[in-house]
Amino acid sequence: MRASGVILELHGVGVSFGATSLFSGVSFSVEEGQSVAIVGPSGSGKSSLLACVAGLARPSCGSIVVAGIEVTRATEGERARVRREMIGNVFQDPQLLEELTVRENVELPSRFRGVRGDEARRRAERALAGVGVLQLADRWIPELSGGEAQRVALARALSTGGRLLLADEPTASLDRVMASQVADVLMEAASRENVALVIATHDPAVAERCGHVVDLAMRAG
Amino acid sequence: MRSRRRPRDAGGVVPASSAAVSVAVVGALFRSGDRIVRAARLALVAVASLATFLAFLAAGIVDNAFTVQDVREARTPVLAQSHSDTIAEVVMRGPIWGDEQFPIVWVQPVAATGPPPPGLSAWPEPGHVVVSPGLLARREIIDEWGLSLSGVGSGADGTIGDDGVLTRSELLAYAAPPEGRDLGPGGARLGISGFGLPTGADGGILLETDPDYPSPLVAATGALLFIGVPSGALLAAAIRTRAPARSRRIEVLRLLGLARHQLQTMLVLETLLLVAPGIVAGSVAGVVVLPYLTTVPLTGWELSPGALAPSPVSSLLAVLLTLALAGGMAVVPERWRDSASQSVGRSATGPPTPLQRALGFSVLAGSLVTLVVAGSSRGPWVASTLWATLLVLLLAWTPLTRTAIWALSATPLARQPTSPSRDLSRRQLSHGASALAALVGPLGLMTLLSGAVLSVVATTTGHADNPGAEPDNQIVMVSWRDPHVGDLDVFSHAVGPTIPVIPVVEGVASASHCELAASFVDLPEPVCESAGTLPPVVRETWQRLTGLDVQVAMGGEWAPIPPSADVLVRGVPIAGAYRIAFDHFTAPDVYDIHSGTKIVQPVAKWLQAGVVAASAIASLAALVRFADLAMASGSGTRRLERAGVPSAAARHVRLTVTRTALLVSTGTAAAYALVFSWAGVGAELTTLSLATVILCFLAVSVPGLLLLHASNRYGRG
Repeated sequence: MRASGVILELHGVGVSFGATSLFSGVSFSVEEGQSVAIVGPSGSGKSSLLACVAGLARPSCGSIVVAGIEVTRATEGERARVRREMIGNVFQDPQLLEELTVRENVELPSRFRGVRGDEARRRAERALAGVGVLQLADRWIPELSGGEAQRVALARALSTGGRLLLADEPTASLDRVMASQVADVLMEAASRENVALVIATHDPAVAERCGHVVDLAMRAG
Repeated sequence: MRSRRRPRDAGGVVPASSAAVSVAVVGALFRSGDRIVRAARLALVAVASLATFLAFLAAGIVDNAFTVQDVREARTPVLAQSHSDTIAEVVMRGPIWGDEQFPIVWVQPVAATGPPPPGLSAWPEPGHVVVSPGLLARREIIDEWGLSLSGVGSGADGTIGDDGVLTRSELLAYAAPPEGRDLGPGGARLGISGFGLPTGADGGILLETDPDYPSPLVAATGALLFIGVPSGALLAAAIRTRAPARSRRIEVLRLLGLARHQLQTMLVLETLLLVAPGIVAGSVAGVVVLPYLTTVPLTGWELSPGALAPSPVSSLLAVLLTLALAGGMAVVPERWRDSASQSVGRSATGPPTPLQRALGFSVLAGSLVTLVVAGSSRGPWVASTLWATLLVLLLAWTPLTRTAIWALSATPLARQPTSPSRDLSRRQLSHGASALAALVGPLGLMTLLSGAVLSVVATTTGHADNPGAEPDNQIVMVSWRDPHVGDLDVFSHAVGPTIPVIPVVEGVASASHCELAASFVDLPEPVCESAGTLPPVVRETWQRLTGLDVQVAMGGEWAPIPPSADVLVRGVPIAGAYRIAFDHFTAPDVYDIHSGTKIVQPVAKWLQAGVVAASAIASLAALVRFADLAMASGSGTRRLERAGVPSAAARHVRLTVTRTALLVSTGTAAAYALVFSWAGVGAELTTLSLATVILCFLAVSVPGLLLLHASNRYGRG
């Protein structure tokens, strides 16, 4: 049985752009299997917060620790390694490569990590099956619907084997029915894989399904 | 296999190197079933192949320049420092055929043991000429001048061998005085101690021939400017195809955890792996084809087989340079953070603002007026004004295209309501003028540049019309060395009794009687009061027409014999005078005393070839970029269809819009190129050629239209 542990810790994190402070004093922690919703109006800094967690940007203050590594002090190479090995990302735009098939897109993180071709394929198919789109494995990205593309992006995020899943407005560009389906798949997969889930959303229905909610509007600068 | 160098990651897996990831990704890309991806990859391979072949050609041209320099040095006659060093004596002559001038080296060995010039197995026989292969190919010169050819050359058909000529096409000859004649006294007769002088050293006799081959430094500079830079632009255009997709891929890979240096490494490796097949193909083509390439178009060069084959070291440098260029271009510049689409089809920036329209119209109209005014004027300012106007047009061509496209959509005729498709097309032309100009502007730029520059180059390399058919009333000066008593009679007999012949001694023409002097300058014979006296009108007319004084010298013969004979003759073509002189005399020189013959500079021929090559390669680069942008924007019909336009109508609208924009850009450019070439004629800057401009227009527009049709059919929209 897998032991749960703290995967993500934020201490007094704040983000400013010039003289404008988006938010400040954000502190929380997430364990494996837990889910946290980051909510707030447009422009409140939800995406910026997730970017800082992923090591794509640095906060103006505070510290962020991912799986024991303080990414706020890490070098660019270390942050890239954290992204590669410990974090799976899902974005509003699925960020899939059109020149690769669905299966090849999902295999990509495994290939980066040196996983052998057949093992990478097996992991990809397992991840695709977990989100219910294995039948799309040989399709090209432009042939997918928005919901299907988002599920593929989720499969890719899960295939990294990371313990932290970051989702930035994953359902924002989908209709209500599809959004609900994707949200179901996302929550179910995170629970099944026992990963920590941090999801930025302005959809109250998604936020209320998470175990904890962080409202950036209340921490506005 | 476990690597001891890379530590295992949190999941216990040894992370792959960037190289391994690159190979994996490139493999996936090559297997891609996406038609556009495969087309882009094939285009990159083809371009890399061409770029590599051109690199080999450039290397071959430079390598051959060193070989040519060796020949040039080896055949340079070395001035003797003393009589005892002298192995032969020479007199240099530079006869003119039309607007070409080439050297004839008149030689007279002092000692039979002296080595002949390089390319000759022996000294030419008396009265005979050893010609270069290029001169032999100019049969009309040989026949018109009645040259007696010697067979002592070590080349084919007794011509000067390869070790004595820079190129097989150059015009050069070595001649020996006729039997019983020598080179004559005087300062023009030079003693030489042999052949072979390092470049830049003093004490040699320079042989300037046509067509010339550049020095190594000039060849390298020209190869870089005319081949290297445009090929680099072509390679860059191909590597940068699908830039939005590449940027997107970079962003995704970065999000998935590749560090910046890993991404750069991956981009370089990906590019190199993709261009590798092309580089191999281009190298094979270079190795196989270049040894047999003996003619370089437009240069006038006829080279010996293998002349353009680069050495192994140069070949390797060409390959490495192409690889380095490709690798460098792969990472410069990349937008690491912003993966926003740069697709022209999706960027809708609206019509040009009133200020932009005003500026555009001002420049278009102002440039046209300036060109017309300059073309109708004379003065030293004309050429610089034309160049400045052309420069302004070139720099501003894309915004000018925007104005022209918008203007087309704004014409009253275009505004007439007709079919919905046509109205929609007009709206798209108007609203999308900026995006369309970004798409088609470079093609118009290449049309303008090519048309204008080729009209300039044509002027520097154009030849005069038939050089042999001069008017028969010209006054020709015929000179020769070592004149003998009786030469005048020989010459007069040869030209015929009706042709007046008047010797010139120390700048004074000596007519045998007044009537001869008068008729020679078209004065009526009754102007003479006596045969032995010249009236002032005759002297004045002579001075005005020939610049010479004239006297009556009974007998009309030289006394004493001058070191060099000068004879005025009227009614004989230059070629005919040469023929007579070569038949009888030594080292003749013939020229029309009124002629200001413009000799074409030898270097201009290969300059022309370089400009044409650079224009062609740059145009291809513009087309590659255009194809990429067109494919990226695709048919652009998706938005129209979402707006309710039927699919077929949407495709028709899109094709009409892009095709119109293309023709506006290239057509306007061609018009300005034509005006420029017309305007420069008076200043002797350009040669007006409608055919050239039309060719430039078609060379860019036709492929562009075909690419538009392809993008309309296969592109993503």
